[in-house]
Amino acid sequence: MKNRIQELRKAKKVTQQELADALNVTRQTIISLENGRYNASLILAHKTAQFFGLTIEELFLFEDNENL
Amino acid sequence: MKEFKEKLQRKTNVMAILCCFAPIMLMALKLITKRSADFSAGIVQGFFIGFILCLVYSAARNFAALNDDEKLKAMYVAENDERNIAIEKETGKTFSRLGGICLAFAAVAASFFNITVSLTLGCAVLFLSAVWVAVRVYYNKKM
Repeated sequence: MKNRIQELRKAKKVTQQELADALNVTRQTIISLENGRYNASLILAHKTAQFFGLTIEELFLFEDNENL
Repeated sequence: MKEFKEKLQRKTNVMAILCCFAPIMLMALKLITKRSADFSAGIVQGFFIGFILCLVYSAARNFAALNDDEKLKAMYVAENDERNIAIEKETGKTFSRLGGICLAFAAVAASFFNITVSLTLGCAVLFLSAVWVAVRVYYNKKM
């Protein structure tokens, strides 16, 4: 699933480590999320969206044909 | 975080108690395995000493974390990071499947050379399958 984490993080001038600390995850998780290698759980998606002041739909770009 | 700290404290206390009793348990093991073959006694004592060393290492690591908030947070994040948990789940799933298949192949291959080894491996496959079914039933009811 595509997401806008990297774009929004850079716009907010937040490092991966700072975002990881705020979300209580490792930096590696942030890297994997940004690269689209790992899909966040509902809880982490919610926390991340809350961090950026957005809704989950605005942060994570779900495509209809995506295999869940 | 508070809950995690309390849980870690309890775990460390249990580890410390076990470490304190380790010499007594080792003596008891030596007495129990006195009449066993040297090899078996060595294996049992070796496993026990290895287990205690792991315990001492974990207790020391936990103790250091309990006295340092930064280390405690790093430990909390490492243990609760959902990607790490997902990796562990996937690793366990792949390992159990691959391990079972390899063991089954080994049992078949061993039947050409040694019946005892083949039967032992076959029993190991059956045992693992039974454990797998039991665990699956447990989670099926739990979730």
